[in-house]
Amino acid sequence: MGLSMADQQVQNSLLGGFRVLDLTDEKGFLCGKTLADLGADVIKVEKPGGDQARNIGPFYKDIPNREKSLYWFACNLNKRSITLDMETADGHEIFKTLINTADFVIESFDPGYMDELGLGYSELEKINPRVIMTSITPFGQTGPYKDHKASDMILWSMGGVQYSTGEPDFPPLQMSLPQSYFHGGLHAAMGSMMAHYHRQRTGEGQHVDVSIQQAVMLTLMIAAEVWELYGQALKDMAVILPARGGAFRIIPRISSPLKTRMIWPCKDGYIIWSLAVSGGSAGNIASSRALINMMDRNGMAGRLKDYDWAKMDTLTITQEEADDIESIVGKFFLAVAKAEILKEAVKTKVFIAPVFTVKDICEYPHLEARGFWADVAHPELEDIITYPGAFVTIDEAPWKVYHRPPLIGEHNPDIYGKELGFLKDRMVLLKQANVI
Amino acid sequence: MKKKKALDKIRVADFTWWGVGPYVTKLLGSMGAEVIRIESMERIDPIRFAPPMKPGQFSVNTSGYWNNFNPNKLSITLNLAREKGIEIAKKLIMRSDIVADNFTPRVMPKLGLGYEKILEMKPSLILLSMPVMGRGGPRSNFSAFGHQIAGLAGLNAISGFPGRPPSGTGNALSDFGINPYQASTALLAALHYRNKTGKGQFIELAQYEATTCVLEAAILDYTVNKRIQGPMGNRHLHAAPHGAYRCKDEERWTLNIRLTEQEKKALSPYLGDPPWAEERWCAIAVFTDEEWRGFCGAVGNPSWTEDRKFSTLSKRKENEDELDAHIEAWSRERTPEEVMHLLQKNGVAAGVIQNSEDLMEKDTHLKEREFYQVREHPEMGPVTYDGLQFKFSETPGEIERAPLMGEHNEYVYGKILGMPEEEINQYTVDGIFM
Repeated sequence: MGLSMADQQVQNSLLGGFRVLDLTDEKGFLCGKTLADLGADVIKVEKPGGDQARNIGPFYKDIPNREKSLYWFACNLNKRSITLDMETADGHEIFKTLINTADFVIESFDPGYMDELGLGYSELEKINPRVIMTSITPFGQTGPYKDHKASDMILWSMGGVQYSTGEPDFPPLQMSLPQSYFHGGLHAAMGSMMAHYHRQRTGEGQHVDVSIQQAVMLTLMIAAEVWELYGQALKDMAVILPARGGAFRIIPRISSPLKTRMIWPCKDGYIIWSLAVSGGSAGNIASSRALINMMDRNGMAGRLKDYDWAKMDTLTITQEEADDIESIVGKFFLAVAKAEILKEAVKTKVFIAPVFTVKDICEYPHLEARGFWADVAHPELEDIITYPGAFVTIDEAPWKVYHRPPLIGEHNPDIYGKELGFLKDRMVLLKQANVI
Repeated sequence: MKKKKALDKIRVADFTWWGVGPYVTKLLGSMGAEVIRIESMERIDPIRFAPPMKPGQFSVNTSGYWNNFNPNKLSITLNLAREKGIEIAKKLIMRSDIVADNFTPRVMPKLGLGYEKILEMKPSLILLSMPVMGRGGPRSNFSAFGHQIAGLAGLNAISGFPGRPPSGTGNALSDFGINPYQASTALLAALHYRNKTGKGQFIELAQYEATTCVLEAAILDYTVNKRIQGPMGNRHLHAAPHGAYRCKDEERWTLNIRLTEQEKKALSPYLGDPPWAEERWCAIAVFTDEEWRGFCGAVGNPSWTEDRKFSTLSKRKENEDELDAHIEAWSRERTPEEVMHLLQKNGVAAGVIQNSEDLMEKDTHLKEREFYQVREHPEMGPVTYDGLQFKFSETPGEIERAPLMGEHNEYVYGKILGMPEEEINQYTVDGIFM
């Protein structure tokens, strides 16, 4: 007889047997989700009545209901759920009992909130010195802005990404689908595991303070270096680099920034290709040659037919020359469809890709062929929902759906009843007192 | 006392190049892992030549790009096109805990370093491979950069103003916001598993698939509701006001050159038309009624805030264009810092739309959290590195400057692999260590 799902999770996963108490709201959901996908027993601790974030849309068949938030589903697959009000005296005690069973506590309350409850790291450490507490907050636990209110867009702005996103002559642009919290969650998962490695060797737990602003800043790539190496010179020359290129990218060059197009209209949508990765290295040159061959087969290579890509250098090319190359390539793109482009890119290694919508992603045959999608049964909805699958493939410990996203407090009987041995009477009392 | 390091004594044989791979190993290095980048003058990481580079400082060691992506590492030069080079690479692999690459799936097997072979050599090794599309499947040999992956994974399609072409993401988000953290988390989980069971692991992070995890809600909206979420500009479904608001311009360029009006006039043919000022912006997000009241108080309760058109969230959503116009008329008179602090004091989420100068020189919060780290570089002088995104109470981690190309040949070949000096010299002359 095969193992039950719960046993498989413990035995055939990388983090099987680990327990994570997940107190986060949407700022930290992805941290627990990532650890759960690797097999940890992640218990979402919700306020009685359910997480506030269960009100975030979109909803299953557009029915606004706490048990039907697709946003919540997406972020909480493979977790279990209990309800607990830690602000009550009973809830407080129960939480302290649970700490003894936990390897990680992840939270995203305002800095200081857990301390006020008497459940800050210094208290938790006394109960369980091995515990790792990871806090995910907009600006971190320290510093003058730690109590600033934030939202996804505010973190995008304070993290320096909004400034450079969008089009010239339009306001700086956010991502329409909130992203910064996801970044924070992923950084937190990694930070938690780093702290765990230290604990595995030394037995010592610790507190990990994740700043989402700083997490977002790590996507800026070379912003600091450009400022440091060119900033003063640009100021002295009174040059203000255009902040937002829209479909274009500005390659910083001290005397004359180079404007190159990144997003190109094609026959049935948009594609991404850049002159910036077309010369210099062997791979770039091969990519450019393959593209020109494709153009040539269609009689559209023009003067680029014998172009020497080895000599093309974005540090020295003139804007005029770049514009001319781009106009020839751009004309060709207008004549081809996204699917053709992608096929060619795979076959001949042109660095080019279509701009996909979610529909394109869902219909992309490669993902189907790799068995990426997971059909998850939701018996309460009498339906099966298709989820994206594993973020990572590990042959020895393949990703699985251990639980569909839990209902509110679905695992109260398992945790409070079976595990902590609460009798029925006590459960009824705690329920009526709105503790669980 | 020697500082405690979370990942002390973990050794990484780092075959990665370009962006996303080196970023993974950089993260491990910053927490104390010994990361050895295997490079070759025969096949130089193109990022070593990527701008920014200070004028007059052109070498394989002076790219600001490369330096920021490769702190906390050792660098050796080893020619993998030579049989002897592969043999030595294998020796280094045998003395490592982790082997990382971000080639397409063909490359490592072609070098004789396929994961099956390596795991046979040392079953406790953990191998990370990051092919864009993964090993299996019809498109597995597709190679791309982060910008292309952002396009493929749907990130471009959800950023933009309604009715306009996608404007794309400012940066390669999958490369530096998503994949490295997932990869490192998986690596560390595998290390945990190895310490428990003795068993190593092959980990494949298909960058494309991994990136879709940040779009999961939109994907479910499609698989369930068949809706394709499009870009919303700076709006939010249940917040108003919500947007980027223009503030008072700043004549940044005059910070260093104080010119008289007359001089400005004389220079205008060269500088373009005045004002030579930079646009400045502040982001504002109001969700609840309480925040709205705070907002009205902050702007001084002018009469428009009492207009019934704006009295509820539903009405503010209905009349959002008009609302935004009122707000911008107010913010245009103030610096974004004033707007942020005033609104924050009144309980409203607001943030300066910061650029590099703001982040590095003005953001007092980042200064106090010591985000940016300056390290002395032998060829470049002081270099600023991105710091760590988190603070650890026991094992803080640190940034050490990026290595020069081949800087650690002697240490790695001599100390770690125990080669006598003559042998190292011989291989250097023979072009193996190049």
